[in-house]
Amino acid sequence: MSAPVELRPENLRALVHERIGNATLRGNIMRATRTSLDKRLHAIDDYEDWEAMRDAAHGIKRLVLDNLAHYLETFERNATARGTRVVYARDGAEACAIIVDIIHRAGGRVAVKAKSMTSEEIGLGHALAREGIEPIETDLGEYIVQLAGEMPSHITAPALHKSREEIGRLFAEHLGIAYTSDPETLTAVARRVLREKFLHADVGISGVNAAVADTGAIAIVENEGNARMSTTLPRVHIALMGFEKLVPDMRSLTHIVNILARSATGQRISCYTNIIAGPRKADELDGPEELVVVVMDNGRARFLDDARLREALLCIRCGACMNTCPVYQTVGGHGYGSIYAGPIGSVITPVLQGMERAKAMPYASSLCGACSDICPVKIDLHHMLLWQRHRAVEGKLGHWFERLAMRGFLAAMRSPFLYRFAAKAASMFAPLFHKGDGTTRLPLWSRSRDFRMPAEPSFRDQWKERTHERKG
Amino acid sequence: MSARDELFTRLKADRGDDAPGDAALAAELDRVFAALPVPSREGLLQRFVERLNEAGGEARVHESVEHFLGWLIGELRDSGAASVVLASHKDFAEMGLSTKISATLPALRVHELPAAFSAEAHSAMIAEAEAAAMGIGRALAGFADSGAIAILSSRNESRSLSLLPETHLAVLREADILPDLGNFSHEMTELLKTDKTSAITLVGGPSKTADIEKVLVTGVHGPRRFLVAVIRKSA
Ligand code: SF4
Repeated sequence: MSAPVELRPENLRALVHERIGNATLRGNIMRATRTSLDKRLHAIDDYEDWEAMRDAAHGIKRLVLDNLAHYLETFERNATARGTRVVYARDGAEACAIIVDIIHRAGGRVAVKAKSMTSEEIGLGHALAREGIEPIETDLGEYIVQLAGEMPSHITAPALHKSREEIGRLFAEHLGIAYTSDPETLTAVARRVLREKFLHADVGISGVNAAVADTGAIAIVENEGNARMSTTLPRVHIALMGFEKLVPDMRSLTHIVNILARSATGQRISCYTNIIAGPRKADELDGPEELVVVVMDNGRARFLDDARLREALLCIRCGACMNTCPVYQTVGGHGYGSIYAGPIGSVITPVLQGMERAKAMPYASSLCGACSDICPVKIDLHHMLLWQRHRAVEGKLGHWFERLAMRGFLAAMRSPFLYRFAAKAASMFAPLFHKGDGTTRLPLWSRSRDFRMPAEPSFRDQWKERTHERKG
Repeated sequence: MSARDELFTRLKADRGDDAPGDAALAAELDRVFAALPVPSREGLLQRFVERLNEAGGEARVHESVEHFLGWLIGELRDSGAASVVLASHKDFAEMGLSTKISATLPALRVHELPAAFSAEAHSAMIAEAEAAAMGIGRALAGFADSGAIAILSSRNESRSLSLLPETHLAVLREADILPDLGNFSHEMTELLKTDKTSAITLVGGPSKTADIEKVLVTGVHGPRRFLVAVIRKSA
């Protein structure tokens, strides 16, 4: 067996090939994404007007995005007043160093970690291990992935790519139990092993789903209870967040909570929403003695410079755009080679990691727009993907022909007139490039795709005719 | 320049000089919320019960405190519980919760929470919660639209009580069922701003995972069972 392709965005093409051939994986992904989508439909049915919910969510997050300094300052002031220490990190390396330093000062050796995409983004686990701190992933999926030495493959289901047999073998090898593939037994084993860790860990590390400006509280949403454990039992709690996680007030928080689980897993609410404002108060019976919130940039401010990409910072990481994406449904999270996968991953990775590394990602999309339709905060994902393609080729990364074509395509998508014109032109000129088997000999962009011959008459014309018929 | 100053400089430059004040932002936010429909007040109890059960929790509605106590004692007897942890709320004492359990089930150990924090009391409390079959606490509010409840860390109720035992039982008054989480945001704001607590937890079901091939398993880290005893208004 050849060595698996390393999970990096540069390797997207090879990763996709690897995954497309794996029928078990594809079955798992398809089943998981379908289940989530079906349950989502049931859960949003609670609202007569789900669109109004999305509009409000967009409005809340947009207000924050346009007034980041104000809300961050307010959050800092109120959090500090509750005894939380708020510190800042320019990038991942700085955030890791800060966290290591806090743990060392606290004399900590073991850190229990709740699931956090942001900590994956900066490779926190590795950074801790390098400094002699044992990082323990406590979300069951993350724990499995950590034992296997892999990377999570889905925002809400990190071990989606592993079969129960693989997990059984992994547990037998690492935890010294007899082999079993029964999910219930395996979960019970993990509970026992991790409970010990919770009770003895010095430090708990979590992400942040929302940071509430007017109270200085942070909210951490989860189903397993491992974030509750990590933020209750250890003496020190460190929470890591990107600055875009702010919401103005508690009312806004409740709105985000209402839409988040419904969009993510199709639950009405997650099992636990931990709303935490400061360390344990003098008269409280348990809770950490110290709470540090690390506010990180790590490339996020770059989104502010591009009017077309700015709203990517509205994302609440629900994962719905992934579940609904035909590409994601086929290749899964690992296919993208980035910690952030799916439509939102393809939009933000080129900015966070640089276009040079991630230039293939914006192409991992059919531009069908399903992502934009499902996004609970109404991020215009598919237009952003198109814009990222444009940036990829403008940056002299692509073929000259593609650059030209992409610019034309962008203009055409924005103008109905140009679109009609371009479509007509396509049906006139396409035969020139026709290979006779329904595909073309256009360079690069279409070489690996079957570029279908334009329909004749065009869809638009057919549609016009049809509606005419019906009216007439 | 410190990382903090750098970030603030960048974010302030983004807004420019026309940054709106508190009042303008609050007004803008009000406009966003004004567009939302008001959640229905119909059938609060029924919806709460249905949705909690759908989420894997177990709602038990009681017409009276006596009825609740009878049910609880039966539940503890049938499950063969050896010990429970009990929150020290005043209304629990008024119900005679601890005395009635002890009188009926003398073999069952009822752990009361320590009166104040100390390192020793904390260790003992955690060990008791670890071993307990059930943690019995209060729900501050319930939400009809999701079946979730809100619990509060306080001198009368530890966080570990609802986290470490096999079963978490929360006692909820019917009058405290609200249509939607949003109806509770004002109270949460007050609780946090007046420093009444450092942690409010919304509980929507038992601890659960589907991380192994999407097979649902409860009790992955926290309670395997999540019970809410709703005591009717008339009681
Ligand atoms: S982009 Fe939208 S749909 Fe995708 S994860 Fe973010 S919030 Fe969810």
